[in-house]
Amino acid sequence: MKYLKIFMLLACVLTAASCGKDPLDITPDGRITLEDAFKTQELTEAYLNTVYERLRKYGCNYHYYTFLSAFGDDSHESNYPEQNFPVAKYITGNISAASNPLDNEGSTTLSYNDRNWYERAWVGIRRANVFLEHISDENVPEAGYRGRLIAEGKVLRAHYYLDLLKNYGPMPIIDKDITQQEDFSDIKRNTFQECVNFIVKDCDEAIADANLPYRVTSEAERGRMTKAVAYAVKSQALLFNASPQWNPDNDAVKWQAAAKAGKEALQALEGNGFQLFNSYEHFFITKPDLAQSPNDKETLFEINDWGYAGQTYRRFGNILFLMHMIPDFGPEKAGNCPSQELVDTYEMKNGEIAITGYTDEDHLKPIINPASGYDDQKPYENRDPRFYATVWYNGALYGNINGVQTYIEAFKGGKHGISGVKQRTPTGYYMRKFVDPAVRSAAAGTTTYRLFRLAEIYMNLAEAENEANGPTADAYQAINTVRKRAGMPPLPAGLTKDQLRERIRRERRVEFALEENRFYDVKRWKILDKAGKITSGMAWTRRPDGTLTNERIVTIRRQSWQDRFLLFPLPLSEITRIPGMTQNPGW
Amino acid sequence: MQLIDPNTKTPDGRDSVYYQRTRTDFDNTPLSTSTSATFQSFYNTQFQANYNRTFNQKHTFTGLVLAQQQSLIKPGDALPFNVRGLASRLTYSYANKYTVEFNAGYNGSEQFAKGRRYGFFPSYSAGWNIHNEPFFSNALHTITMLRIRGSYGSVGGDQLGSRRFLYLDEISRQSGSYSATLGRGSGILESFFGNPNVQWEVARKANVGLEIGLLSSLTLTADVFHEKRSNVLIFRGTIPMIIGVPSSSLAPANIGVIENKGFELDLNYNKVFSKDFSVVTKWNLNYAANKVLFNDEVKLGEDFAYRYRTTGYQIGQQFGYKSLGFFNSQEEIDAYGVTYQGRAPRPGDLKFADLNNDKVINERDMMPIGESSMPKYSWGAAANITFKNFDLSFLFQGAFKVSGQVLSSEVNDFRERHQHAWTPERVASGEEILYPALSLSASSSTTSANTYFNENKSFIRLKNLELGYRLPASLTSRVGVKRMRLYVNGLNIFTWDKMVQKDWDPELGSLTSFPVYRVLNAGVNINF
Repeated sequence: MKYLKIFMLLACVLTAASCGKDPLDITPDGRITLEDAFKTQELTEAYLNTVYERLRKYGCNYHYYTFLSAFGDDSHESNYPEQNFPVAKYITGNISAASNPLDNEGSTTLSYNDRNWYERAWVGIRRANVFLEHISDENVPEAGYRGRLIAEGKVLRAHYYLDLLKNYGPMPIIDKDITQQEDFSDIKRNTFQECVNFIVKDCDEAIADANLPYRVTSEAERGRMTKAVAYAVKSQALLFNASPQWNPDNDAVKWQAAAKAGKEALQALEGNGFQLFNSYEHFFITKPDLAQSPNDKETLFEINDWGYAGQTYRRFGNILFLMHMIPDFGPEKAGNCPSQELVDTYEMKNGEIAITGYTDEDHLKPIINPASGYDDQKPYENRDPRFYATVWYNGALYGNINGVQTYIEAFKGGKHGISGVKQRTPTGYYMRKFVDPAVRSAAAGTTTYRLFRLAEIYMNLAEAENEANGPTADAYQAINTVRKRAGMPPLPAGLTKDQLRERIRRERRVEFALEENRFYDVKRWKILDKAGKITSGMAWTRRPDGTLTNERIVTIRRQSWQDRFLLFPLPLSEITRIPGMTQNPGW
Repeated sequence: MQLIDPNTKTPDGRDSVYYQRTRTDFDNTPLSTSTSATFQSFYNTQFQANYNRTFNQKHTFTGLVLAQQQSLIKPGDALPFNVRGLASRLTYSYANKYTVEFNAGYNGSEQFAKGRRYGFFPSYSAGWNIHNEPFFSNALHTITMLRIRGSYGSVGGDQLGSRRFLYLDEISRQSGSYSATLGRGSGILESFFGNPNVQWEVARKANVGLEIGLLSSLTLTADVFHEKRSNVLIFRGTIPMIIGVPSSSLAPANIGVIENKGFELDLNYNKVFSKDFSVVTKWNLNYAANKVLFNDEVKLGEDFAYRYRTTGYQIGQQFGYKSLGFFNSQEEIDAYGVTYQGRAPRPGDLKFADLNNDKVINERDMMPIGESSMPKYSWGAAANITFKNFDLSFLFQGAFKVSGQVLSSEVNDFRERHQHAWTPERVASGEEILYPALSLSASSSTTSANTYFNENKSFIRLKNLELGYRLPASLTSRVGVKRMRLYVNGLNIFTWDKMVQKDWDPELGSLTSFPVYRVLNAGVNINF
């Protein structure tokens, strides 16, 4: 008993010696909890920054600086057919649920790499959910400012959802933080309509907030979310929802909703000073200026040049010079080379369709509209001005390079002629859009990539209005506004609904040439099997007498045109982990 | 020196460029100086109470209570590693025949969240010294010891890998985020999501042993054990991306279960036959096999030949293709009618079995190949024999049921490959083919693990041998030397193995690890 007493005493001493602080209760310095991250306004704002961080870069950030258009029929990436590159894998149909090269190749860490679209969007959605759950009158006391931040978070969440929807189809709606969830047996996909409703609700709530500005007016805020973005996201989401891919029964109510959203968006945007930039050509090669009343009143959302730490030459404006350039400037590759199909889509300057289609599968025999004045031996004369702003063609004047007036010599043996190397065009064309011919170094390129611009709202409205109500004056006015800016005459009156649909689809292709719209348009219109098989080019030959002849050539036979390519496969690991998550059709 | 490797592409498709320092005279100069300092401290406070008493010369009780607190500060980690614990032991033995023992530990670790810091780990054991029984006394001249013992108990583990404080989130503020107008340009970096439920790993181990002593010179110890480790901390394998957090930044959870069983045999034979002749030998054999019972693993699709990669297999089970030998011609490849995902096979490449019969060789055809990289059986034999002035000692070591991939993308020794690679001529002349056809970059045979390159790494090695002769003292004392011994010895003198590729040592994991080398010595020891 005595021993026990002594022991107890000693034990007490031991405990007392350390009772000031439990030695097991040590917390590392500098670490904060998630609750701490919302303690102050500054930290709450910082978290919103983190929500922004998962925005993709779009533009030419599709592995090895490819444009998304090169995965479709608008252009031919000069690097193709280099094996093992995503563009080649996609074109040859070599993708699967286990391996989607568009989605999962490239650096995992560099924030300018557009990879892991699926995971990336979900990370963005979670962060938006965390942000919206935690922002409160305690961390951001001023109600107006708090309203703006909340609205930005909602636009971001809507944007991430739209990104998922376009690529992977309908998704489960997750509107709260589920980081600690362990059971996923209840998670199921919502319908496309439900997902669109969710996006529209976020956008509407953001638009309703008086403190979310329509546009960014200071350099410091470049890239922040605005009402303009909310309108654009909403317009696109409703258009997709009404399109044949997601509206197989052609439910007019869906088109009505898209048309109504388009009209509201235009009314609001026009009423707040948005209008089309006066020069189509210069729009894409200038960086948007920011002011209450800027020169560029068309841009709705531009991709922010952040996250290139130490590698700023990889910015959109800089990298174009290195990766999408004619051989004269020693680029790494010729890059995004427009296809003959794109060139053929341009109307004549008089507004007549030049080429209405092809008589053969290989697109080698065009059906020429004789009324248009198109001459297949002089195909580049009198075309839609946007053609000259988008494509470098054989004989085009590039400008003065080192004191020499340089014309594009895309004929066989010419200095820009077709050859097998990636520094030369495979189609006979080089990309002019985005590339400023006056720029003489990578560093001098300043333009940014516009993900949304006002012209799209007009075109979305034209399409939805025509489908919902037929070729009304509203539909005509929307498309003609876009044509007018381009310097094209209005469409002829009296077109039928089907004729107008055809013209709208052509107009979209031309207006948004080499942008991201067509990759998704052919899918939502479900014409991938018609538009997705062939890419052709034009090979010019110089006769001994100096005159030129041309020949149409097939440059790509695409194998990614089947219905399953309307959507990407969901990553294999994901569908094995969520039993209720069904794989997309055909994968 | 800048090296450009066209076979390796950077993520954005450029050739990879790396730098290697060119060796200069500067590097060979032996003069260099450097200083470094590290600080480490260790405090250990213990309070201990012992109790030991025998009643009636038969009943012996002992008891121990130990309280301790320690604090270890390691270089490079600002925070100490603190442990607190209370240990106790109670034993009782009756007339040296029966013993029972109870141990208990109550330990606290700073690795866990409040409320989960302390774990209680009891263990029980009992033994029976049969040789002390009266009925055994007749046999004592041959069987000098006979003892049976058994134990069962649990042990806790708090060493959970390199990351500490798994229960805590790691969230920090980071500059250089999206917009300079938000949070002064900083963002919140959520690099780790802690698991507040992380707790002690528990191993429950049962052991039965037998000790036999014969004729005062031979002892045999045999033990059989079974261990089940539950609460093993593993990274969750079933968390989808939809949660919006990379799985690498999620804390592991105590959900893994691993089973481990085996036996240990020890045989010692020590005998002094005469003043001039004595023998000390030791022989041991260990067997241990483990199995992953639960690893939170997603079951792969039905089109996979094997739907689990870890669950139900031993730790570190390798998976790969089953090789059916070499394709000897293009016709053979065409006739096989199976396409390889990735690189297509050429004549001279390995023919892989299409285990799921889908005419494509891909990850779905992978099967468990080879044994574990840790040997199941390890074995050793050592002896020391002294005869008059001579002495001889040796040590053999061996490992069985072990295998490993002998495929390396960085092959530094090409000679063996060139001499034995597949060529049509060598096939025609019936030469031994040890490698697939050579290629400038990775070929279909070498890009993935397969049975052909998974070699049996069992071996027996004469690790150590020494022979000595001590000169008679009568001889050496004349020149004032007390003791003089001549000897020869060697390390790694012989190895018997089953490796096909002889430039690999069975004990090495890769070609570039520091090799096992053979040493031969001859020497003399002189004591004045």
